[in-house]
Formats: sequence, structure tokens, C-alpha cells
Amino acid sequence: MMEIFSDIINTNIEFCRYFGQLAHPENALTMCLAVLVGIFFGVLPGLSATIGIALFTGLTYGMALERALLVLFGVYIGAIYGGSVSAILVNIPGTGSAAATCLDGHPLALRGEAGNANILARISSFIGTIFGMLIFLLFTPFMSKLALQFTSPEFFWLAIFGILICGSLASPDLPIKGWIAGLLGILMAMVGQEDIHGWERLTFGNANLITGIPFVPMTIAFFGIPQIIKSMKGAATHVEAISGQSRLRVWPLIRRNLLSILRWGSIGVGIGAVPGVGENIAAWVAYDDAKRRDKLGQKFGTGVYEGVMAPETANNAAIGGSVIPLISLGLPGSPPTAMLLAALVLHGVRPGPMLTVENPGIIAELAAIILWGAVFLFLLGLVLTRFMVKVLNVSLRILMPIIAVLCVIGVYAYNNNTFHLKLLFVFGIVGYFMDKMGYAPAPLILGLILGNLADAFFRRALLLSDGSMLGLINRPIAFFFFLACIVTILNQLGLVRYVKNRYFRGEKT
Amino acid sequence: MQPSDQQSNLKMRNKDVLFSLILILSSVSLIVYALNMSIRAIRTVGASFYDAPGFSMLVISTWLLVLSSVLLVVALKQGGTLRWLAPGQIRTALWNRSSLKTLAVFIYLFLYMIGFGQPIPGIHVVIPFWLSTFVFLVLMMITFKATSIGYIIVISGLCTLITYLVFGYFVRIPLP
Repeated sequence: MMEIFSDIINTNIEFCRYFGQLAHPENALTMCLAVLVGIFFGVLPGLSATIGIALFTGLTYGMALERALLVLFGVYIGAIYGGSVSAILVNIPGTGSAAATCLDGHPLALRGEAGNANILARISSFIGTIFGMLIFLLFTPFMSKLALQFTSPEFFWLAIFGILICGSLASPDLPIKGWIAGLLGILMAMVGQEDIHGWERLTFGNANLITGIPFVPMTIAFFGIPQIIKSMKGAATHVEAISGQSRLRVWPLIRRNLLSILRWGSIGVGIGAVPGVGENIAAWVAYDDAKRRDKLGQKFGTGVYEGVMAPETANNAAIGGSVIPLISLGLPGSPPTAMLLAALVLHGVRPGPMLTVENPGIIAELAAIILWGAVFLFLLGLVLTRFMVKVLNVSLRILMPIIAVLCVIGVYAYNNNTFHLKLLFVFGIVGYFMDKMGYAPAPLILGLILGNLADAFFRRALLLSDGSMLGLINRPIAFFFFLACIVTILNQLGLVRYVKNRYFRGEKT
Repeated sequence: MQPSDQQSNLKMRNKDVLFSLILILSSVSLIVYALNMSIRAIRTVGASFYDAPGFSMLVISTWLLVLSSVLLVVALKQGGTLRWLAPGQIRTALWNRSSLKTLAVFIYLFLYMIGFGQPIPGIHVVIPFWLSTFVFLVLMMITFKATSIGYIIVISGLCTLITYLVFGYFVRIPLP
């Protein structure tokens, strides 16, 4: 325990040092531009944080790791905030995470309070990002220490739990579709040479598949290409932005809602830390929480300030939350962090329990980057929001072909292999049809990332226990994750609710 | 539920029936493939059944089979059918403006990502990336009437130039 505390104190000292280092004009300018680009990606409907990071992963290929992290986190933080601008002003969420902000943000704009809604979104995003960063800074050393004790069964169950929970929460239609997507991702991860016997699986004699299906092209294929196709075939809409001045006394409102803000921040961090789920769900859960607890609950949807603050605090807090499992376990907490994982791998860094041992300063460095991102988000939002809305006048039919070009360059830069462009095309089309059938891409990508680990750890655990399935659950953490998997499945089948109602509340269902 | 919601729900269930059947067939094939691979590994490299290369695939494919069967049952219970695959209905579904637009995007993406990288038959010359990028941008924007042709050519030219300068020259990323 003392060791963990001393780790946390050391991390905080390192954090202050990195924060000072990042104040260097060159770093500050890089971060400022990255946040600006991120806000641009966030403001434009169809361009999300994931696509922004995916495109910049290729662009940062030639940069040093520190500079690349500045750019990628800047884009991430900026995009999550930027989504709220178009959500408030034109009722179109720029990113999925701002969908909940539309509900009260746009009615506020229609009432002539666009400025108020914008300022609340900006301050809530700022507080959320700082809150997420603090939790990341304090909890990641603890999580990393815990993760060092993980062996094959723990990793196997963690991978399965991540896919199950991500499938349940991220699937827009039926939870079972999320699970199916996760399983398809695991099967895709099994393509190529396996770890234990070096046997080739599902390669069908194609030498390019021996190393497996890489997840960088797949992430772009499943997130980017369907969006390009949808935007190109959609109607060319012209949007009219509403402007409005701010006349709100913000600080009394923040003070009055301080406890709620902490709760929404915690919701954001908690959901962000669940593998693969991310800020979209966090925003909705926080909005629902605000609606249920607030005295003005019934007025939600008509332009309530808390209806903007809750989702914006949670979706930005989820940034810090989603980086916790990425750094400590190597599991991305959200689709954009799946891209960040790809970028880290591209720079020769393998996130996971050993990362903090090999690179002890990484937690402090990332926290300092997130804090600088929050500062620039606040400043740029203050100065540029009104000008950023102008980008909404750019037609998606001009932007999307350019995005397609950047996708191709990003995928090719990953490994200089034209075969990956063929994969991009084929799986982009598959992704489009899966999207049309209600299959979320997040569980599939998570399955692809975790599939190889789950497979190797599963068989290794069985080897160690001489083929006994009990070997998979006879350690406390492994048993905990096993139970979590069972509860997740039973919950989706409605059995948990039935038992609660029948035996604990005495209701007859 | 609104009638329009009901209709879109029914459409989704129709698609679910087809996709679950495809998944059932695929998972059965994968189970057979995984079993064959495991048996070969047990015979040739002396692997045991649970560490054989096909074991995890066998487990995952079995789960997939179960889940896709559940999906099929759910879809059928909610009114999903395969009647929409009748030739007349398929023709109506495919021969409309939206489907043709989708097809056009598919073709352009195919040409850009795969087709332009291949040597031109007969003369064995590969189109350079800058030219394929410019042609792709112009074709996409003209087909979808993004703006006037003059602007399209200027925007495409500028984008190609900037892309080439930024990625190929400043960041030094090898381009296709």
C-alpha cells in the first residue's frame, strides 16, 4: 500500500515537471492547433473524435512520441467539446457524444440563450476533462499495480467481460447484436499465425494474412468508411446557426450544482473506464441521472441548463476514464482510445501492465497533456466558437471525399502495404452493411483488439490447469470477472430484474 | 410505437433473419474448420485438445451459433421473414436513387483503393497516386454535385497538392 502511495506522489511530482515542460511555446502551439483541429472535427457532423484521431495517427507517424501524443490528445479533447457547438446551435450533434446535449442545448438556443448554452457546455467540458484527468492521475498507478498480478485467466475473463459489456451498452438495436459483433471481432483476430503452436488459421494461403488482420486499417474501415458512404448518399443539407449572447451568471449556477457535477464527472469516468464503451454512453447516462434527480426533471428537453451541463461534464470526464484501462491494461476504454492504442503501437509503445514499468513517466505525461488540452479547450472555446460555426457551411460532399483520401493515406502509412487498402475497402463495405443492420462497430473492434489475447490466455490457462475449466476461475480476480460476465448476460436476459422484483421488492411480475 | 417505427423495426427484423441465417451457416463451417485443424494438430504436433489451435475458434464459433440462433428466433417472433428477398421486391429495393448512390460510392472507393493501384491492362503502367487522388476527388464531387465544376477542380487540385506536400514532403510518409 505504501508503495502505491509513494508511486502516486512520484507521479504527481512528475506531472508538475511535465506540465512545466509542455508550457514551452513550441509544445503549446502544437497543442493549441491540435485542439483547434479537434474542435473543427467535433463541430462537423459526421467527423468524430475517432475519425480525427484515425487520420492524425498517420500524420503523426513521423513525429516523436511526445509530440504525437500532444496532437492526438488535443484532437480528442477538442472533438469531444466541439460536438456540443453544433448540437446547441443547429440541433445536429457534431459527435455521438453530443447527442444528449441537443435535447436541452438547442431549445436554449431557440430561446435566445445560445451564448449561455455554449458557455455552460464549455465550462462543463473543462471541469469534466480536469476531473477525468485527476482520477486518471490518482487511479492509474493503483490499476497498473493490480494489473501486474493478472495472469492468463484474469486477462481472459477481462477480455470477455469487456466485449460483453461493450456489446450490451453500445448496440443501438438489440444487445445480442453487440455480442455477435464482439464474437466476430474475436474470430477476425484469430486470422493468422497463432501464438502457441505457430499454426496458420483462416489465411487461405494468403501470405499477407499470416501476421493477422491489423486493427488500425480495421478501425478506419469500420468507423470511417460507413460514415463517408452515409454522408455522400445523404441529402445535401444547409444548416443555419443561431447566435446569442451570454447573460448568465455562470458561477452561482456551477456552485449550486457542484455535487451534481462531481456525480456526472464520476459517471463519465466510470463509464469511460469500461472497455470499449466511451463518452457517448456516458453522456446519456449522466443526462438521465440529471433528469431523474433534478427538481426540474419534467422540464428537461425544453431548455434546462443542467441538461447541457450533465452530458458535457460526463463526456469529457470519460476521456480521462477511458485512458485508465488503456494504459494499465492495454484495453481501450472508448473507440477514440482504440485509435490511440493503434497510434501508440505505431510508435513502438505497447500499452498494458508493463508500460508503467518500462516507461514510468507515461501517466504523469499523459495527465499533463490532458490538462493542457483542457486549458486550450477553454481558451479556444472562448474566442473561436462563433467562428467555428462557419465551418458548418462547408458541404459534407466536399469534405467526405477528402476524408476518404486521408483514410487511404493513414492506412497505407501504417505498414506501407497495399494489401491493407484492399482490407480497408472490403471491411469498409462490410462495416457499412453491419451499421445498416444495427451492429455497432465498437464491440467488433474491441473483439479484434482483444481476440488474440483472449485466445492465447484461454488456452494457456487450460494448459496450466491441465485442461480443467476450474483453472479459469480458481483465482479471486478471475472469479470476480467470471461472475461479472455471468451477471452481464443474465441482466440482458432480464433475469436479474426478475429476481430483484420477485424476491427483493415482493412484486409479482 | 409509431407506425413508422413499427415499419422500420419490421425491416430490421427482416434483415436479422437473413443475417442470422448467414451467421448460422458461417459458424457451422467454422466449427468444422476448427475441428479439422485441431485434429490435424493433435496428430502432427502432438497438441492436446484444449491447447490445439482450433480450440478457441471452436468455442467462439459455438457461441456464435447459439447467439445467431437466438437472433433468428427473436427476429421470427417479431415478424421477420425472407419474403423481401423475392425477385420483384429485391429489384424495387435495389433500383432506387439511394441504392444507386451507394453503389456509386462503392465503385469510386473500389477504384481509388484497389483499381488505381493495379497496372493498366495492355500497357502495364500504374497510375501515380497524385493523379488517382485528383481523379477520385473530381469524380466523387461531380457525381454528388458538391459544388460547381470549376470549384471542384480547384478544390481537388489544391487538396491533392496539399496532401502531397504535407504527407510526402513535410511528414515524409510513404504514399501508395
